[in-house]
Amino acid sequence: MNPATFQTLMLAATLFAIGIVGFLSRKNMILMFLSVELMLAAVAMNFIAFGAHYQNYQGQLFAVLILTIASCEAAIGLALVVSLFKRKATLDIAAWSDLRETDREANVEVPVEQNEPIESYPVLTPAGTDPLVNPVRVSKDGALDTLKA
Amino acid sequence: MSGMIPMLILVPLIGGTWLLVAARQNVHSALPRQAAIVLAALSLLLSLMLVVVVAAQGNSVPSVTQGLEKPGFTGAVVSPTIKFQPTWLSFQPDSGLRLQLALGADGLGAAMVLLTALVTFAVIVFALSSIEQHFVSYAGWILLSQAGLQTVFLSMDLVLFYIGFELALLPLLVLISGWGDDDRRQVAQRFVLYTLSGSIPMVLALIGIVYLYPTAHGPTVLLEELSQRASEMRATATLAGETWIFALLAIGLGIKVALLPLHTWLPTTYRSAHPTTTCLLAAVVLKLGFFGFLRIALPLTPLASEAYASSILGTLGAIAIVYGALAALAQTDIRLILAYSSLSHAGFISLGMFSLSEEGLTGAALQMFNHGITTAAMFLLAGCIITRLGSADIKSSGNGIADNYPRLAVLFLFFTFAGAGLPGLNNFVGELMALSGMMTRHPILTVVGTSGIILGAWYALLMARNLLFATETQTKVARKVSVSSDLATRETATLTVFATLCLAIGCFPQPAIDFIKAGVPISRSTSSVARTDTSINVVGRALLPVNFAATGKSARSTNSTQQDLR
Amino acid sequence: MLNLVWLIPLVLMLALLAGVLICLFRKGAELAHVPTIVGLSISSAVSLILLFTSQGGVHVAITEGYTWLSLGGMHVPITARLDGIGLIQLNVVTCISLLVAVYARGYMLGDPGYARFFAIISAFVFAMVMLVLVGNLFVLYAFWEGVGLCSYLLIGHWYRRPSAAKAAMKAFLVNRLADCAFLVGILLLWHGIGLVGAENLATVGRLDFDVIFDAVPALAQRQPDLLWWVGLLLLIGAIGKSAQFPFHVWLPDAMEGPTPVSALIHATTMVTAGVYLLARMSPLLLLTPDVLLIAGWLGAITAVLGGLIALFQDDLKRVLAYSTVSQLGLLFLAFGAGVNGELLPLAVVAAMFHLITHAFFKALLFLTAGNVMHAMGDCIDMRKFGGLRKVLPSTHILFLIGALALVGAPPLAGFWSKEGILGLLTLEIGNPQYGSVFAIWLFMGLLSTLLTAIYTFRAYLRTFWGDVKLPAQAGAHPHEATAMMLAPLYILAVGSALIGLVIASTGALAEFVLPIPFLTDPHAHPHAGWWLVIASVGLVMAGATIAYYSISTSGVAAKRSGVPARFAELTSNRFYLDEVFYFCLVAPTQHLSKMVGIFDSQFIDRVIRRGATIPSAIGGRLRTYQTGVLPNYALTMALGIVALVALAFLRG
Repeated sequence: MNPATFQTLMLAATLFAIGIVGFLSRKNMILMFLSVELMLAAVAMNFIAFGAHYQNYQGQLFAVLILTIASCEAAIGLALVVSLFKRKATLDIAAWSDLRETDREANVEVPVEQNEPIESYPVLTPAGTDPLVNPVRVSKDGALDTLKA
Repeated sequence: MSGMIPMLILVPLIGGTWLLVAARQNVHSALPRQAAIVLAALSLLLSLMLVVVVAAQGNSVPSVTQGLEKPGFTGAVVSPTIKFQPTWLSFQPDSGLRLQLALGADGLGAAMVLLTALVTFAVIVFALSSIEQHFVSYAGWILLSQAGLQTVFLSMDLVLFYIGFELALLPLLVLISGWGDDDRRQVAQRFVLYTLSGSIPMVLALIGIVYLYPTAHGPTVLLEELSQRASEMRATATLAGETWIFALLAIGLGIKVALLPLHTWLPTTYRSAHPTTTCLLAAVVLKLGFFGFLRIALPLTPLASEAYASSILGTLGAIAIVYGALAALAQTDIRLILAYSSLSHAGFISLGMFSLSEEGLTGAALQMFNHGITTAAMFLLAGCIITRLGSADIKSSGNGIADNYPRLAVLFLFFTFAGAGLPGLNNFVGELMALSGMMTRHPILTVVGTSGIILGAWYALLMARNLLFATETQTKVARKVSVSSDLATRETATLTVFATLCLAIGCFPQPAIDFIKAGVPISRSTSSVARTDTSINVVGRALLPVNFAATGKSARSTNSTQQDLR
Repeated sequence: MLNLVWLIPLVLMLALLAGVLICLFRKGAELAHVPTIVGLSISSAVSLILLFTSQGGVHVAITEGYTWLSLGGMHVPITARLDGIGLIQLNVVTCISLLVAVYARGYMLGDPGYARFFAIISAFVFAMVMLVLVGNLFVLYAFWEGVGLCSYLLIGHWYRRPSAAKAAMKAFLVNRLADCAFLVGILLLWHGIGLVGAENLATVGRLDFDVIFDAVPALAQRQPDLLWWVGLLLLIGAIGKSAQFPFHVWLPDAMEGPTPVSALIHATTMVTAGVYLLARMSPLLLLTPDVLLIAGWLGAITAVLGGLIALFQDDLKRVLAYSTVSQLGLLFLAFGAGVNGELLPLAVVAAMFHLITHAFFKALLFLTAGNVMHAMGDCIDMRKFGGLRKVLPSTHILFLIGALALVGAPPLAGFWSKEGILGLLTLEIGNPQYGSVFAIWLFMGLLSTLLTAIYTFRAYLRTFWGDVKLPAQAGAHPHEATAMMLAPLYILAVGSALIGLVIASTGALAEFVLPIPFLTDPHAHPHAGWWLVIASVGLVMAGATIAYYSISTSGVAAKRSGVPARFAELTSNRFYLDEVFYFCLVAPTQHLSKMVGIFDSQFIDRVIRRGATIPSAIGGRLRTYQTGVLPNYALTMALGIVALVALAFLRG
């Protein structure tokens, strides 16, 4: 086999391996998704390598197809992940183990409590007013308080 | 004539189903109750007709065509006297392969069919008074189980045999878990699961048999053709090929016949079920396994039987005789005494059957029928006694029931002695033949088995004495029963028929033996071979005290002269 | 003439059927004795006819019946085989049964189980007659057990009494224990004959007596150990039925039954079945002299043992029961003399002689004891009554005749038959091989004669002499028995008195019985020496004197005078043999049975239940793979794909 092809295939295989190991060993849904994308990319690279090897365009054609499908799937998948997150407020895949055997316990990572309050962000003066003339103050509950000059 | 055979299965099947439907609809008239008796009587009549037909057509003693040069046990060709084998009774698992099924009866099959019908009839007669609730559905399930049992006894092929074997269990599950002691649900479940777990090795073995004896037209499940092939292939048969089949069949059928140590389902099941159900269980269901041995295991795996049956299974039978009798001695619940007694008697049947001699096999076949009759009567009577005493404890009979219930007492004593092997009654014939059969093979086992005679009499008489007569240690149980009268006329009449059968077979066993011996799978040619010397001399010398051996024995033997004196 | 043979059991079977019908339909119970007595009369008449028209001895008459069982290696026909021994036994059975049945008509009058009693008596005599008649060992065993069943039913006749039901069970079970050994012996013999007789297929599987005796010489040569075992097991069977040590424990308890039953079954007919078996099988035992030696020893021990125990019993029937045991011991002792093969035919003759005389006087004694019991209101404890010779004069004379016959006072019957047996033993005292054994046996026989005299006279004196004492149960006027009850007793008394004289002087018995088929005819018929006669008469008188003094010196009540208390206690508790029996046989079996019961329900069942949990255990392990977590499933998928790909690669 062509050394170039071989090396490309090796690269693709390595990426696939990284991708599958990442998928199988992660709990974070988004990172699992990332790994899936990595696997898809690796497969696309595989196709390209063989396309180059056999000197035809079918490899590249299929790689384009894969890219398309990958992005569609990413869109749908991430939408599903977001809606799942909204239900359980955690990205742990183990939170969705209702089909487990009933005498096992779910191994959910409990989301860590944030101890520090969210910092207050600076408030910009509305456009068209001079801050030296009309300063904006923020009250305790974050409401804007425009002083009349 | 052969159309009668499927009727024997269909009548109880359809009748039982109809009774179940009628019970569901709560038909309040007396019609279903009477219908139950009529249906049972109809099946009894059909089975009597079958017996008459089989007896009239004579028994063709089966023969073996080839392979006689090998010594030892030779199975015989199964040849039913009357057969029902229509071409539509077949099934095709795939195109090009067609398995023909068949029903038929020879002497042994007809005898077992008669036994089933008799016992079912008696059960329904006795259930009329002892089953208080849902009698109609009880009778329906009994008839359905009869249908399954008749299928087994009438089957002439492996598929129907297996179907009947399993189908008989389902109604029994309902019967045991519906009427009986408080723990009957678990006990029923255990019984069915235990028995079913024996079916797995059995079905594997049956498949093995089908492929062990291929015919020119492809595999066959017909017993006739299989046994024919077995006798033709006798010269080339190998022990290894048959051993695993025999082992699997021994496990599967052994669970059904309560072969030690696979017997522990028996005492609890017999105790927790209603006595009339137990009657059917002990009299007929226990014999299914023995029937399987006689029809399938012994004739179709003769080399393995010769090698292993008498040594291993015969020993287990002999141990069971003593074990069952000893355990029965320790019990105070009448149902447990009778259960262990059944275990002991099944040991006698095993002892005879696995001796693989003509007397032993025929004795075992006859004893299957005899024990069925005797045990059925005992359990039915036990049920009556329990109803009248209010408890199953034999020590609670107060002053004995012989005074209050003379008919019950006389019949109970009669069947107790029948079960204990009193000569002149039926069990003696079977036991004598079984013991003789084993004597030619393993005398030690016969000696062990003969001790079952004394132990058998012991627990039986103890039970009789405690129940019927007065003893010093009796507790007076407050009787809360409503039945205070002796056995009803119909019940006495039924049991009198059973007693007459016992007497008839006991005093004139030759007709019964001639009838049943066609179904016994031994080739007649092996019986005329001179018996080989056994280990009796070694045993004798080992046990002889030395000083006796030294006294002038040899001098005496030359002293006697024989005169021809007639 | 031969077909008359079947008339005997047939008539008895009809009597039995009639009795059963009477019991079933509860009609005509007062007449229940009629079928029995009619049947017994006919059968006695026929047996007497057969006796007097047969030449006896060599002539063996075989009559065919039907084939009971015939299958391959086993052929059991029911045939009747009558030779001298059989005819004598048949006559003893039928005639004594007739007399006892006539007596029982009066004794059992008014008993609620009257019909049942006579039905079972018919059944018993039927079984006993068939036992004597049949020519096949299997069938003999069948009727052997049948006789045991009738004995059970009759001992337990008054089943409302717990002691009676218990005694019936004990009798049946001890008999059955011996029958186990008997059956094994029969089967061994069947097997042995099959081994040696294989050349002649006609003999294979038959246990007809002629076939057996034809085959035993070959068996003795080729399988001597088997033959020894057969002989021993047959002897054990005989011992059980005839209540010899150690199987004697059932007979005294069997006295719970009605007195006619004790007289018929447990004195004259059933217990002689063992002796009859030995007489029948004598051609076989000829070839196993060791077994006869054992028989002789057991007989001697039993003779002395029975006598010792009878010394201190208070119950008159128990005394007679132990006396029966002791006399049967003498019969077995006679067989012991057959160790010397030439003496065996003479031993059989002597045993049959004593059997006949014993039947007469023992039945007489039992029936007169029945009279006493009847008059005393069912009390038979000798401590409670006394001086009855004034109250029951006829019974007194009859008992005295019976007692004199029992102790062997000349010229009554017992004297002749006992001298026959003891005289046989004196013949071989010089023999170097057995001489010492015979001498010991002779001594034990004489000792038992002494003991017999002592206990018999003690019982006689305690019952009939002394001051008149009546128990409360006797009522106002205890009366003598009715004429119907006394008539058979007179016949028996005449028999006890004269029959010994008649038989011994004419030698008719020996001529009739000998030569026994298959045994060598002895050429000389020796007689006992005079010194033996003087010795036994002297012992009888000594015994009478001792008995008189033991009663009179300290009065009737205190009977243990002059005897060490320990010994008296030992004997009156029957040497604790019943307890030994219980502890050695009964209690261990009961413990073993309890252990088996527990083993069965706890251990084997536990193993099976443990086995039944295996599927759920496996399922539990497999269940852990269902985590519900997606990556785990993905891992499984990945591994599967890898496996498939690898498989595809390897397959090429």
